[in-house]
Amino acid sequence: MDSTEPRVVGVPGVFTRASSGLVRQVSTSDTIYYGAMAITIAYMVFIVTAWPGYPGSSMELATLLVVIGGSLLGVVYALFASIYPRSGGEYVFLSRVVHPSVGFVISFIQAFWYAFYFGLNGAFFAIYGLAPLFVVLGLQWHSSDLTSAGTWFSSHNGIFIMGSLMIIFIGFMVYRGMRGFFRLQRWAGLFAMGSVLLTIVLMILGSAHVLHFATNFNAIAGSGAYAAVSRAASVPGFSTVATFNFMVWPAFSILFSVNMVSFSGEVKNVRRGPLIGIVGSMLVTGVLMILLMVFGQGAFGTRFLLAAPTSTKVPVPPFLNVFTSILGNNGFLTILISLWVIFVIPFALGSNVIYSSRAMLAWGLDGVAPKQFANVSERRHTPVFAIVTLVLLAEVALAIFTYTSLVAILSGFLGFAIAFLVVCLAGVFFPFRHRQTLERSPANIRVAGMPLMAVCAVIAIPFVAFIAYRTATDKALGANAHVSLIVNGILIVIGFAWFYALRWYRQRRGEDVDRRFKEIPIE
Amino acid sequence: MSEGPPAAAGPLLDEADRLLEESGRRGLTLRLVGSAGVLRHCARCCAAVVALGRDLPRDLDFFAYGKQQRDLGRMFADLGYRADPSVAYSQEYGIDRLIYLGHAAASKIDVFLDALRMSHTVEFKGRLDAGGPTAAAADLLLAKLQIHEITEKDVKDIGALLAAHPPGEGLDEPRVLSLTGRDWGLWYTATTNLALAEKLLAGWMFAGDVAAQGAARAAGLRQRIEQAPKSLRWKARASVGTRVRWYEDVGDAEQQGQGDAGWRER
Repeated sequence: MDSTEPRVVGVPGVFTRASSGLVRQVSTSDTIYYGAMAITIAYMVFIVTAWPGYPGSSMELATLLVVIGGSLLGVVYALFASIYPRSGGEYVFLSRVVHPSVGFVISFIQAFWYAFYFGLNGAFFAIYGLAPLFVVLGLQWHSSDLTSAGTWFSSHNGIFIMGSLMIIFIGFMVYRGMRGFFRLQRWAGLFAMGSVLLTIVLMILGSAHVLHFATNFNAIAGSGAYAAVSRAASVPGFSTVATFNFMVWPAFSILFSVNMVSFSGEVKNVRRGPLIGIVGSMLVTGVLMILLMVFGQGAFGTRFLLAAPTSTKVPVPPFLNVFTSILGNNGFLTILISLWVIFVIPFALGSNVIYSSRAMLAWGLDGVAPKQFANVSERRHTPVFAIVTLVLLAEVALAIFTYTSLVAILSGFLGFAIAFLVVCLAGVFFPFRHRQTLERSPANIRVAGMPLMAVCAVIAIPFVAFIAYRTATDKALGANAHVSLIVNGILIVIGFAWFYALRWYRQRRGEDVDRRFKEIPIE
Repeated sequence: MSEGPPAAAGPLLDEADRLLEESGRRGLTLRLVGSAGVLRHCARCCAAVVALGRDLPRDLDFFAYGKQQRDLGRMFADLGYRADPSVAYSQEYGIDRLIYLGHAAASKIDVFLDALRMSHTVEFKGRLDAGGPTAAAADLLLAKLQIHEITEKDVKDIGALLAAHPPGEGLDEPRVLSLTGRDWGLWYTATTNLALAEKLLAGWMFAGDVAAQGAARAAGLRQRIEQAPKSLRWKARASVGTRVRWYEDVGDAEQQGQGDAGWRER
């Protein structure tokens, strides 16, 4: 028995205690909200837009497969988080389980790409949230000012300015502290959930022909426009290969609830909180995504959805939220429907900056990054230096995405896929190489005598490896563009060089960096 | 019965006095709680603690106001304490607590801000303005009654507080009844602890009248808690009972950062 574990001695009914401890404050429900926000159901907008690029694929089946594969990956992450309940993401456990340099490099790559998406999600807020809302409201309320505003939000300057404001707002919220962030996230999550359910209800009514999308669309695009758009597409027979290939798109969304490990040290119920938070948010969001896909096809027509993204006859952004607004044909409904995009994307930015800043904090504590990264504000107790650094990096990423064609939506996904794969590999070997640690931990769960972590990791590896392979080979994703490949290569080289240079520097100053990786960091 | 605190407790209580004096000089509100608080609260409490043979405390606990956190931080730093980084990095997540280390007399100092968040939450914002070096007797008692995994030392503190305060004399019992009437979890833990205290104190013959008085008053208080009016929320939660966990897991602050790769109970 652990020396500090409470135990009954002497007088029956009483315990001994080394000292009074801390009661962590992040509830399991907050981890579910966080996981769901990190998944970002708003990405459904471009997931559905990408679907015609995979003829014969089933969106729903691909999403279901991702939920299953993602849940296995999620279990591996959650079990690591319960064994190493410290904040800092994969860095904390990979640096202790695999090798410090590997942990650092994976974390370095992840932090870079999360900083990149901190910027891109700012752009997505304008492109997929504000622009469609104002364009549709302009059409429904016959206001050219609103339509013009919508057009401006999708212009380069509109994207950059609104994206920048969102980056600064979220940066400020995270600077103010996670307690306030989680409170805001809870409310936004509830409104977004209500908005998704309203969207699904409208889609069901459209599927049942109570509401008429074609009629409303024709009223906007001109008589016969719906039929003309739909005629342009054919519905090919089901293709298993295309369905597998399409998995990358929902994977880009669903897998990211594992990001919760960035603050696992603060979760109240560290035994099961990460497991419920990561896997629970994947299941809930995955089911909602599948419902949106199924009823979206029912309400708008499969042919229409396949043709709309490339049709010149669609006078509005070809997004699911826009089509639902047209289906509802009511300005107030349009506002309510837009909330699942407008209220969710800001928290995707939040999960990006939280992951990166906590990784930087952990690096700073371990001495593999400048000490400033480990400094927390006296007033807010937040890693202000790391947050400001990330806001600046996000602004650069936003500018590159907005004003150049160097990067695409999935440019960073290869870096993430590599990290997921390394975690799975670690999950296979950890239960055998660190048997005692596992057996003393709440992750000591067995299935047919085998460690659950290893079982899930072994099954998840082909899934994650396939996603990584497709990310590296599918040109439509942009993740294998020269720039992305070069950046990932540079990140790996810089990561290793940084780690060994800092290690050498610290050792010259008499600091034993290696010893720190034999302990779990303070939290 | 001896009149003052045991001599061995002197350095710890001297340090508590130094901190209280300094906080007063700086216009800060700091009130001693925990076992040292029971010892310092009044002469009768001190005598009862001695009679019950309670082990002397090694650390200090205080209640303070969250709005004075920065000034308190400066005060402890000026007095040579260092803040425990394990708490510094957790405060943004809502941990209303400061932990200071680094003094020979007090191995660890906990400062709870606005609320005691342990097995149960006891809010005390606005209740520290009455004078005196310690929190009110009712808050000292609640701080002990809310402990899910209670120790023998805690039981002795409960016994000492009850023995020193006959009903209606210096212990704000309505506050105890009010909080336990609103929060079923706190009610369950507090009544369980009082029942245990009654049983143990009744058996500690070596403590004579103190133990007997403590046991009788624990029984009386438990009865009055049982009979006090309950809120709707309390009744709703009571219908679920202990099938759902009714207390928070309390980690062990001393473990933070101490582990190797292995997991430790928090």
